[in-house]
Amino acid sequence: MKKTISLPTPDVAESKLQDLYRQAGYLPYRMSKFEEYDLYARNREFLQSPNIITFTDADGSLRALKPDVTLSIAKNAAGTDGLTKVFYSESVYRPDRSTNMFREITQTGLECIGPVDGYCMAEVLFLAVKSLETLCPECVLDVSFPDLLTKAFKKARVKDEDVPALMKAFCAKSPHTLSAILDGSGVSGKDTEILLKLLAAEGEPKKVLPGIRALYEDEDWTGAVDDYLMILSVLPQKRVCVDFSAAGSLTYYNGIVFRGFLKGIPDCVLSGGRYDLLMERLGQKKLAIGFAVYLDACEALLRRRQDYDLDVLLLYTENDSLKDVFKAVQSLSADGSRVRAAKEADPAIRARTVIKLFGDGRIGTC
Amino acid sequence: MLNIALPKGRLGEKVLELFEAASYTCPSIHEGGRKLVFENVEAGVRYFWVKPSDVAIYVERGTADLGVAGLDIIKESEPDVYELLDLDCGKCRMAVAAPKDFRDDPALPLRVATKFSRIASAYYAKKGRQIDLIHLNGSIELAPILGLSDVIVDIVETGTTLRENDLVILDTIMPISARLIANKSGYKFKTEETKKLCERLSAVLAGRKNEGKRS
Repeated sequence: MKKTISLPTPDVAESKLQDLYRQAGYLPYRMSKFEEYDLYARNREFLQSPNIITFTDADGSLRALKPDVTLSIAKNAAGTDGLTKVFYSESVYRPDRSTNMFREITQTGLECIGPVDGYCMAEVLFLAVKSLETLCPECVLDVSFPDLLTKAFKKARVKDEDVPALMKAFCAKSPHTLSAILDGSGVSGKDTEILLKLLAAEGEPKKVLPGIRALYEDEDWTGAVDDYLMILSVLPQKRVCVDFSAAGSLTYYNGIVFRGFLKGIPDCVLSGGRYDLLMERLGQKKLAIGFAVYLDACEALLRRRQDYDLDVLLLYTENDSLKDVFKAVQSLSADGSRVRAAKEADPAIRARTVIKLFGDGRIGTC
Repeated sequence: MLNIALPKGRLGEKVLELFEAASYTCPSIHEGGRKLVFENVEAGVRYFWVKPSDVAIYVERGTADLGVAGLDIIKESEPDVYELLDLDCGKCRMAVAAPKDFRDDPALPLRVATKFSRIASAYYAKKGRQIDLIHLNGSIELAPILGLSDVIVDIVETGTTLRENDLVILDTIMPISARLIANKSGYKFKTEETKKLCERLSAVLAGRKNEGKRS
């Protein structure tokens, strides 16, 4: 029988992700629905959308319904020494891109703040991959390195005013746009070629990073690439793709930035990265890395799942013993599949797979 | 199988020719009729004709893995997609035009009629010029003639329509051409097929460029 892929509903996904983070030693973190508006006003670029729901609290202060969780956790990590490892599952309020109206979204994720070392980074990346696998077995984590881009821009003597347009070209994987920006900007042909190679670089870390390492010979570059190679080498290589189009804002992110994709879902469902620069902006000399999973994307998964009402329809006859039917249903639903046992197929119910019992406990496809 | 959204009309025909030259043929698309979806399993492509301004929506939403859209539409709608190739066709430019006798009065906001509100706003914001934006859906050239606007921001291909309506180009905002765009998530799961298509298209484009140089 062809193995069915059972996709979780958003609430099941949320619960599974929380179990995953708890198992990895992360502690649950609860927070208020509201935050001082000022925090978001000062860090608008960090947010997915600059639009925020604000209100005047009873004491006259301007408050906001949280559009993001990371900022609140990062701000509140000020008083703690050592490593803070927390996970959360909170409602955030953001405008929908198509309707431009606010909607409530469940954001689940984790943050690791403090003396973040290579292990912490590998662990967070590993949990990001595991989070994607929890949602859908066909997934990819794109990993980019904003600090390598910054170094490469500096080496190529890219003008500061060209950097935002160049970042856009990287995000759009657009070699012709990159060439057009650099043409006549004073950047040499050789440096343009290197930047084009970075833009085109994509694939498994162990295969791609050695090529990136060879682009420059100085220790600053090779050392940084070696560090990333060491961190990424412990991850399942098939699931991780080095891709500089994942680069986030250079104002907040440094080191590693990553985004997760699931097959059949058009948008990125997970995003995260190393955000020491944000901590610095918040006045804290701490290192930090984390990610968020956007569970609203699971609605699309749910839509996929709802192509069928059942994963398995098990047909049995009077010749099958109750015990055999019961045992078969228990076995088929063990992986979370939706299984119904019936004597005949109901034309109104769509089943992904129909199988039947043969009267002696064996099962097979119809 | 790559799902490709093609823009209906002249540009779409040119682009289809390019794809077919790159071995992504689809005989059924030439059969006529009102069908909108065409498939060639052997070539691994499924084409569908959509309104040019909708191509980016189909790609961003993942219904199409790839699509062909003009840079004007990409800049105006800013879809979150990859822009993989400049297809070097459908060439025109986004320009500011006005009646021949137009004189700009910096003391007043400039009345700008356009279908491309985002592009026009960004252009004048960069210049620090205050504008009164008038969004129209067609016959933009009519706006300054009837006094609805001072200038227009629109696509200019040959300039004939402008000339026939006594309008002149004041500035070119950007050159436009057709671009191959891809859904970011779809690309992750069809990387090899997409790269192969890009390589073949690039080879055809390079060949045409060389032919152009020789002739």
